[in-house]
Amino acid sequence: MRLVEEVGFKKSPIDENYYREALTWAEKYLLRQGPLEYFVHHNTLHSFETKPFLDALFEAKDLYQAKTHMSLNWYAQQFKEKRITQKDLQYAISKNFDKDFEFSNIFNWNGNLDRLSNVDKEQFLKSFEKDIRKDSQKHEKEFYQVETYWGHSKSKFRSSKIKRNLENLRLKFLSAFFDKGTSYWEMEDKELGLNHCFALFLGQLPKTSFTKFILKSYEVLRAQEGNIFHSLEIFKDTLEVPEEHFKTYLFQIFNQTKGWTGLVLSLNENENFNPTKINADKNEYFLLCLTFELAGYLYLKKNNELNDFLYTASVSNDHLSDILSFLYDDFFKIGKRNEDIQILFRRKKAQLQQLTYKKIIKVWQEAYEAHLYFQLINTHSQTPKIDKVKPIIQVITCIDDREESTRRHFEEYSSEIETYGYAGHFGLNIKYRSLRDAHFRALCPVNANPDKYVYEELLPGEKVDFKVLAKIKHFLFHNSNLPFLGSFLSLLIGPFTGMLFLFESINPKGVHRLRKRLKKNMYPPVRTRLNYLNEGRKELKGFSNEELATAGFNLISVTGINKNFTQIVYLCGHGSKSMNNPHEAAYNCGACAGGKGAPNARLMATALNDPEVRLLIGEKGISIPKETIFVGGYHCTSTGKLLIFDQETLSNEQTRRLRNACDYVEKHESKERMRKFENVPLTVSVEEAFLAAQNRSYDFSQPRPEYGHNTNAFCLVGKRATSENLFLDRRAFLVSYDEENDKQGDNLLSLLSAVIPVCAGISLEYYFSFVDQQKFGAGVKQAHNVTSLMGVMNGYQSDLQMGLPWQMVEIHEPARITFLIEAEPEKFERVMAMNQEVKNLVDNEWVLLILKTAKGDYLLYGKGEVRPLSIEQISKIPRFAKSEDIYTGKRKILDLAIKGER
Amino acid sequence: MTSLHNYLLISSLAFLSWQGLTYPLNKDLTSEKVTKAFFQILGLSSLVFGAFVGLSIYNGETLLFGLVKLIFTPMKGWIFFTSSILYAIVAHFSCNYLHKDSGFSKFFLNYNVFWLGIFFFIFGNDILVTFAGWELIGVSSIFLIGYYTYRPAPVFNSLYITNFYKLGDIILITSLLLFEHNDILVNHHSYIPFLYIGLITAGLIKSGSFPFTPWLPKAMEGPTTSSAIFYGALSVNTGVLLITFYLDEILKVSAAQTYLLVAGILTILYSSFQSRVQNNAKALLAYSSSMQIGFVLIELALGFKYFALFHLYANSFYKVYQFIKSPSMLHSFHEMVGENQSPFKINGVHFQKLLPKKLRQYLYFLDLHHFHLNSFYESLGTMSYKLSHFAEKIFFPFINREKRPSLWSMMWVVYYIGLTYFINNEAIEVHKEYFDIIPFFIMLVSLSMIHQKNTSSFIALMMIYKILESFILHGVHSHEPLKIVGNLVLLTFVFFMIIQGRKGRFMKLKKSTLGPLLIFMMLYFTNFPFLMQSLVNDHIIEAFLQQDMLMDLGFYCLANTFFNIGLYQFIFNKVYLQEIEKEPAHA
Repeated sequence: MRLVEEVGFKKSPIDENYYREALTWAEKYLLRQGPLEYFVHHNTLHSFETKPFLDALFEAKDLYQAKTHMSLNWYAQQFKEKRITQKDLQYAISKNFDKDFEFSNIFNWNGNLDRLSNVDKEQFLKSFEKDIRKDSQKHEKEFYQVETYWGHSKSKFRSSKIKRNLENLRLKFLSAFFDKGTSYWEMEDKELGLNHCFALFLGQLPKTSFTKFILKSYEVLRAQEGNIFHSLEIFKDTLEVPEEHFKTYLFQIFNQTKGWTGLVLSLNENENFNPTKINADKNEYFLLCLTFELAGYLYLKKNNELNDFLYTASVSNDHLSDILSFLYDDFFKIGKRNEDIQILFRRKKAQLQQLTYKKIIKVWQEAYEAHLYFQLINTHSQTPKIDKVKPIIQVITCIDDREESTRRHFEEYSSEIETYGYAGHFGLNIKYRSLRDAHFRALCPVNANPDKYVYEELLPGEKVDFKVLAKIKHFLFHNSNLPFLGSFLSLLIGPFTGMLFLFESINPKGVHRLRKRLKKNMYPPVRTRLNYLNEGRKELKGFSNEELATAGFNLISVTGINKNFTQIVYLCGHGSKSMNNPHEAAYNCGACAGGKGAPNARLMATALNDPEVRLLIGEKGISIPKETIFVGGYHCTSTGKLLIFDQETLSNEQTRRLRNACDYVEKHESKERMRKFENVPLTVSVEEAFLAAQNRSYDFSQPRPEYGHNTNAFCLVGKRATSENLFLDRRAFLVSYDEENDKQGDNLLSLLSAVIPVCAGISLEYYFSFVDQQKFGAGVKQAHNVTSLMGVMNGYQSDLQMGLPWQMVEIHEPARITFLIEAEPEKFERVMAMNQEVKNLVDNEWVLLILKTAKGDYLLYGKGEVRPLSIEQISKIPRFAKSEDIYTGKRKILDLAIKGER
Repeated sequence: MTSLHNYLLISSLAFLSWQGLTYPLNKDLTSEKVTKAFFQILGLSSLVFGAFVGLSIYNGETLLFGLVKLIFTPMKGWIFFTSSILYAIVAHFSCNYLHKDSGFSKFFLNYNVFWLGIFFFIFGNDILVTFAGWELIGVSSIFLIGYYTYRPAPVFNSLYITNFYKLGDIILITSLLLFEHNDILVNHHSYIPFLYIGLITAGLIKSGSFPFTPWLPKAMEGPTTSSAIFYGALSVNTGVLLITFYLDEILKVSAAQTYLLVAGILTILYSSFQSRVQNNAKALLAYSSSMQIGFVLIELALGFKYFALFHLYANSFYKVYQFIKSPSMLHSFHEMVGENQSPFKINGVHFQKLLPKKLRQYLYFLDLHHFHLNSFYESLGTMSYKLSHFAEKIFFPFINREKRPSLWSMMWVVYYIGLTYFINNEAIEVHKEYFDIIPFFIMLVSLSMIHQKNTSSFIALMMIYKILESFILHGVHSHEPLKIVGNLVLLTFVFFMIIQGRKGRFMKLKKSTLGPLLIFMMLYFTNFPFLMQSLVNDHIIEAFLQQDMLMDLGFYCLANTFFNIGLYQFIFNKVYLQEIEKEPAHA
């Protein structure tokens, strides 16, 4: 207690609510990211979703001190490159300003701060600016940065060094505590909690004049018997933080190591991320952060290195004087006289007041997006109707934008193939364990609750055991870093690794094949089945037939495959394989929480082939013909391969037919994909492209195995009939929705409740990672260093990196996603009323939503209002017979096109 | 001694090659393809060349451009051959790995310079050439550590490593010069152990052995490929190769042999303890590579030269592969655990379990804090800063707190030009007592330069340093070095004007020109080989040796290290630290 008195703490009853509120506030706005193996796309600024998008951007900019939108220079560049046309800009201006808006020349400004020297102007603007500011409404800002003691030390150099040292200690401890098995010698007693280990860690700090203060502040803060609010009070009183700035300051402290904070919070919030049960209480983590912050203060204070200071809120630049000055100069350049300009400014003061920097960015961003969605609806409205022949194969893939070209190529292969899009977990919220998994892994959207356990088991008579292989790998993994075994190993296998390295960098696919063949010889392939039924289980719950029938019924009725059931229905999950890539999970299926969707497809097919399940579905009103066979499959989006599971259910003829279709799609889809990679020549044949795709995936020198969801921009919900003749350039999520099967609108509700948040998450994560690759993105891949098997950091020691690496987003177009839904307004409004999350996203314009009614009107939703969009008959829409006609020889993003002759 | 114009020629060549360092050349695909083809050819020809030398087809000594003395022996040939394999594969790999990266050409320029360094270092038959190779390797690795200039950590860490490297450089050049002067060694047998211990120490610093290990994990800031080839293999091998080349002589001196043995054992102990607790892929591999070097050192101390070399390169292959594969760690770990069907119980299978729990935990956390070795170096740094502030007070007339350039620096220039051109071509008598004081003063000046951020006071202090240095030269040499020093001063003047030009006082320079210029200055004024300062250093060290003052030589070496550190810090500050957290080039 002596130490407590020393820092001037008086014990008095405290207002716990105040501290709880402050902590909750800070916690709310901290970013989240789980371990990398469970990478799930989510909106980076999820906590801002209750605010309008553009407001949120500018508030987040102040809070995170990050870039949240592109620069004016960038927009000007897009304008030059015709990614924004004059028409789009006019549309966005008319949407945001009155009709008699006279300052549209502000959109010639590219952010350049050069001013013409003009005495009259400077004099006039000085008073005019004051005038404008006086009249504009003042309101208290909720989001800002507080200037704390770090900015007020006598020597910036010394204080920044101390800050760095404190941060490094913090990072060192955290990475050691959360380590899942990198180090040979693990930290002990982790199950006793973060705080326990932290105390031991501090105990061994080198004794210097500096570390003394860390111990001291730890003792002071911990003396409160684990009550975080008491510790917060001591902290606040010691640092004399004013009440109104306290919550912001707290946020800032935790945000300093935002990667680790995000990890701790998501481990606390989602137990699926934490199969090894790491005991990391978030309050203990907060205490740790406070300890270091307090230590810095005490040290600087004691050494008399602090100037007197007040906590002040930082003010962000509103660019008002730049805007006025640019307008003035621009009018001056076209020959207006000083007096005329001044009169104009005074007369239109109200308009100038509205012309804020935020508004300018807003107009640019909306123009940029309008270019995309007008292109979509103009093309969509002109789609020709082509008569269909009776299909013989139906393919159901994930709604993923990467499957757009897969589906298009299936249809191009033969008009007898019909395709559908359904969320890649096929409505099954499962936890799955394969023969090669140690833990069950959730394969369902993040917000769903996976309570069904499914595991792969061997068919009777089969036998396989990988344990010996695992033991050998483990031996090599750890022992190569031990002294004697390590030198023995390097003498023994060192020269051979050199050869392996050489072969692998010259011919990645060849080495991969060799490896696979070796493995095949060691472990011949075995036949397996899924164990998913509840019967005979004691602990882990499985499915009942009834539940499977419900899921199956939903699948059939939402997609509408019951219209013309074919003999083969191919259900295709997807995932991705790449080498040397810590972010591998980010390429996987979003609907399966960053896992590979193969088990879901296989399970659904197995269940739908089960006569008992079919019987139950029949009772619900859909009867499946006997000759219809469901077959599961898997699409690897990086190698481009399509697999078919459990082929014994099909006849040889059927297998051959499906396989031929898949072979065609694999090659042609790869070729379309490869055009975006600069080191694949544009002239490759389809076979070469397929090979190049596989080489990319197996090549460990390749930072770009595939481009993932890059350039995603649209999501089409409706019948395939209206979109199958469109070339969407892998930019659109395609969701099958049959309105005829949905009289009440229940299907639409369940569909949109899943689809809108998931697609918005993907689109917005790409947006923010692209816009600020340092703060919201993960930087460049080449500097990444895998830490604690949890995440990556930059170089020797840094914070965990959040978001997506630059190589994953580099060709993205930073636009919000546009939904185009074919449904009646009543049904959609019912969805909005029933689901708050969807309502927030749509009303606050985090996504753009266009509804196509049966009459053919396009309605844009947003800000709680509906705006009909006018369609333009464009004659210049490109036409194509086969996809190759459109993309061959081109690298850049293409315009949407329509199938058919001109 | 070689004539001056050779030096001028080479320094201007060096300047041209460094120009590309701070800004990328054109980034299009053709330049990538050209680079790839270039490195394939260079790698293959290196391989063939190494094999030819190894098979004794090329043999004996040569003189390149009338300046560079080289020697070809089969052992060196095979060393070069093996290094070439690694070099070629990693170059091939990097072309893919750094595709579309904004620093693509920066990486390959440094890689190129590095390869030149390896060539000179292995085949050098002269102090100057060996040292040139050594320094080229060091400088290129420093620039690759600071590859990502828009983040602070890489820049600070590359400065941290510079401190170690510069210490190693001055120790190496002193030892090598002592080696040259057989006449001194004949008279003073007691110097011999120091000579070899110096050589070994330089090797230990370069190879990241105990007690200089702390820099090694901090070097993991560049792209993965550069970490792999430099700190898994070739750069850390340089230190060991240095010891190997002088091994026959070292083994004759029992003190040096013991030193090598002890260093090896301590390196194994320290690095193995460290690598056990590391939890990130790259630091783990860094310590593990240093640990294997410890084994190699022991093998060398016991006289197994060829076995040690085999071990060294076998390990290099293994470590490079592990480094390159380090981003896969997450993937392979999960695959492994999955195949085992349950997580591995790591704790409890090894000997730590034999210790009582309290002791075990004590050791674990001590290990996590690097046995306080890092904080020891940190406190050294803090101390030097404090001393620097203290030393600054002595030179207060030259310290300038404002932005205005101080007149002092200009006055020294005028004084010095006069001295250079009007003095007789004879050596000046300098008293021995005078010789005693100067090194101490030099040390004080260089110490006060360490924390100097103000341009004009930095220049003023640098001038004093140079002049004191030249006083030593006056005592031994006649006109030639004096003129060289005179030229140096003129160049300082230019340097000064350039920096001033940034504020628009004298002339305006673009940032893209200024960066390379400053970096060139940095290399020019430190003991970068083939540049004049290294010549001056040679002469001064010679002067001390001839006067038989080892103690003062020590002072001078320390001063030189401080000077280098101060200069590097100053220029890093000007070139890189201002770039930090600005937009990276590819956004």
